[in-house]
Amino acid sequence: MTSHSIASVLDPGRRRTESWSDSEGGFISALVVAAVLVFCLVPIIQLVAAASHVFASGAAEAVALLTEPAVMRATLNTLAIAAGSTLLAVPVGSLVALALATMELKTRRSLAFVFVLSLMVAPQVTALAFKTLAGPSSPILNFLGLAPPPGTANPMLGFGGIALVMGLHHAPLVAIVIASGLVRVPKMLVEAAMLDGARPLAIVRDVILPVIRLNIFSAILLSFVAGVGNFGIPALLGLPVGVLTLPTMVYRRLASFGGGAINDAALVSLLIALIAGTAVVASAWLMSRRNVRTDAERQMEPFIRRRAVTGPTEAALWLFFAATILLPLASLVARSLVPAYGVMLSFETLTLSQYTEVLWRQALIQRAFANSLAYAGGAAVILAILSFLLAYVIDRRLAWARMAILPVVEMPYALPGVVVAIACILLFVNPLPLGGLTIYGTAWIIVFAYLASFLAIALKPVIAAVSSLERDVEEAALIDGAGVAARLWTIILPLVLPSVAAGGLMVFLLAFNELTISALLWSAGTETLGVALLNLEDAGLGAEAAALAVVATGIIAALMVVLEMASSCFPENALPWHQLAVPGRRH
Amino acid sequence: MHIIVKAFVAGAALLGAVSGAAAVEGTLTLYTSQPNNDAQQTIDAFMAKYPDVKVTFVRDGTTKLMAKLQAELEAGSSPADLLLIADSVTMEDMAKDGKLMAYPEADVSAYDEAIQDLERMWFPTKLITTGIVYNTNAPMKPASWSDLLKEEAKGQVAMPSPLTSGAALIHTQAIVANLEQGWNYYEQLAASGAQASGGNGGVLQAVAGGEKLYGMIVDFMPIREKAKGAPVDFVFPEEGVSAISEPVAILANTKNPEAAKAFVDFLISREGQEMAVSQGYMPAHPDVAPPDGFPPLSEIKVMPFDPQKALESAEADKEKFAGIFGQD
Repeated sequence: MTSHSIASVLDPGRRRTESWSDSEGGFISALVVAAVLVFCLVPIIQLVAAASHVFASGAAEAVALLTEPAVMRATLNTLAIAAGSTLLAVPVGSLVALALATMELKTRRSLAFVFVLSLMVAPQVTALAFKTLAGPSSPILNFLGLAPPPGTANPMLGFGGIALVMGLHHAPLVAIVIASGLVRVPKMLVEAAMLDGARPLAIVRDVILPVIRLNIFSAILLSFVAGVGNFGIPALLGLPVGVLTLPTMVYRRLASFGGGAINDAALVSLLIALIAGTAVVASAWLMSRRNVRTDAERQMEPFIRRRAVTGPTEAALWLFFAATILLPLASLVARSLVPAYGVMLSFETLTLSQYTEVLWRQALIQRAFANSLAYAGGAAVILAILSFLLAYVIDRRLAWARMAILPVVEMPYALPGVVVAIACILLFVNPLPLGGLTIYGTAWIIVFAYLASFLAIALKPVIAAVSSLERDVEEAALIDGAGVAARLWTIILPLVLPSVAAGGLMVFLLAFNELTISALLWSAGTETLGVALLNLEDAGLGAEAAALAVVATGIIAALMVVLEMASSCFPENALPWHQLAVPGRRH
Repeated sequence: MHIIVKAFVAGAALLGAVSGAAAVEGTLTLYTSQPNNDAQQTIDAFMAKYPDVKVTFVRDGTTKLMAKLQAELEAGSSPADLLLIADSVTMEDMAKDGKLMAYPEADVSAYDEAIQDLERMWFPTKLITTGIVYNTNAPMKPASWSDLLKEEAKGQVAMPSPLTSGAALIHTQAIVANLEQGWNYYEQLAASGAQASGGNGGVLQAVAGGEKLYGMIVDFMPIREKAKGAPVDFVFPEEGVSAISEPVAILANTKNPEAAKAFVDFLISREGQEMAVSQGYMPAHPDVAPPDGFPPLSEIKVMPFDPQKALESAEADKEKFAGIFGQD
């Protein structure tokens, strides 16, 4: 879900005079800035401090740890898998984004929706679905009579499978970044080229590609970062066959060796952060170099209308989505309907017992549902409120600090979840100086990590909405003597509420599905859905795990459908699948 | 007179028992390595008997679970009241550190004293052996551990890692101590492409799904899945199986010792043992008949095993294993 920096939402050169600024509201400013520092900066500082401490107390040992064969192997695996998945994600994502933006496709909205749905499905669920798709016991392959004989390794397990699944999973991410460049292609340029008699391919090559060139580079880097940080896919497809990446290695060491491994974990996390951070900074630098003027009123519209081109393209896209998104999910459903893993689905073996077991019998899973709802819901509400205040403060009071605050907010989101989780462990493993309170081992440490990770997501639509507000109304209210709280509540909030809600809901969707953070931070009673799924897989309860994955995916899909049906309430672009389908007016 | 005194004493004892039972209430947290559905059934059966107790459970592989518990204990507190994990070696380690509570009054009279802990810190609840699972479509039906080294099994063997599973650690130690080849057995397995990672659950999925044809695994998983129709079968190899007892223990820092004792009593009672049988486990109780699919206890050959030595070499053995299979 990483997309380009929030900073680029607005032209960084824009400044407003602060002549009417009153002195109230200082409290709010202090509060939100403190919140940003606590959630987003302190954990990372703690991580760097802990890693430096390890270095200081034994540089030779630290170097030895980072260069030991296991870590070197995991580093190479991580880089190879991230690069491999990017090689797949970028062409697929770019082509889909280009097709959706340039061609008049009847089902454009639906295509964009399904494509982004595949990104919103949790990585571990995607991995599980693809795992059931291939191999000797694949329900789909057996139905077609194409299943390989028993004793054939599942091609989804190991390097190739991880890179394939990750590449397909991150393709929508690439598409969203590319689409954010496509909306900057001026309509006039396209129209001029068409008047000139240029063929569509030539327009793409000569007009569009130059404009989105930097977006493509940025998409490459962000896909790579997402690949470096991904945990769910290598956890399900790599760990069982001993293929470790840096995030899964950190997880396994902490899980098997406990607190004693935390210093090693801090070092390795910093290594992950460095790899990811370099790519993120490079991407932000690229995006800041974009200098194409945006013609906001007249952005490019689909210009390829020939049915001979659009018809087959549309069919090809649906076929591709059916094979890479719907088929794996169908296979997952088939796997959840049998009495035991390895049993072939037929009318005789069909059973819903896994669903009754998972949903009604297992207290742990019911608890995991309740926990994920509570943590994701809580984080969404807190972040919606925080991002509303933060957007206001950044836009109206601390505009000078915008360039300092936004990167801090972005940092924990851009960094892989495993890095944030380790930073939180380091921060809270000792009781807080305030009265010996500790949140380590409680639900709060998970919520804290969610707040750090997802603030950027909640803030993005709100800051765009707040900065586009006219100031007249607020100034009128100010003259009328309304205090800052009253102005926020009665004037600003109603105007930006849809954006606040959209940001909060996106946080909910991501946090509800999340595994990386909670896999490292869960303890007795705070298992999340992701943890429960990993646990069922680990216990050998493959059919039960499939059933849980189907239910969790159903919830996400249902929420997305609800959002889509209510989309007229939300500002344009607040829902990520609209960013893909947005060029051209809304109907 | 004498009889009256006797009757009085018996009555008082009965009263005591009743009031003792009345004190069984509150909450319990069980840390277990049992598969989720078994853990749920176990606590459900206990709660049906003691409706005033609310039991929750936390599940992970024994090694991972112990890492979590140790970290919590070091940090000062853990919600765990009870531990129900694969092996007694880990329990011995906990007992040695003073982290378990002795329960000398527990009624173990029906059991063979040889399998009991003399300090009454932990209590065997089952007999779980590790043998060979194979996919019923496989060309070879393995009969011995050495069959896994045959050409037919090249690249087709899956096994749990001691880095995850407590049963796997004991199994590794038993194999090394009992097979002539010792560690060389594992080196040969690694050389022929055997895969070792994760827990027994992963092995079950790999063999049931046909991705591997053979595996080392705890007995109840394939025996139970076979009954449900999965294409797997279990073999007790000629050289013998390794065995663990899935002991239960009360943690020293439990806040609810009465309920915890009741939980232990329940697991080792005839009723609790019959529940284990209904779940497909070989019971520890000598008078409770094993479930379908198991040979009589007397026919199972268990490889001898020295728990004291196992405890001392546990860390070194884990590292040795990890080194052979290229794990960190």
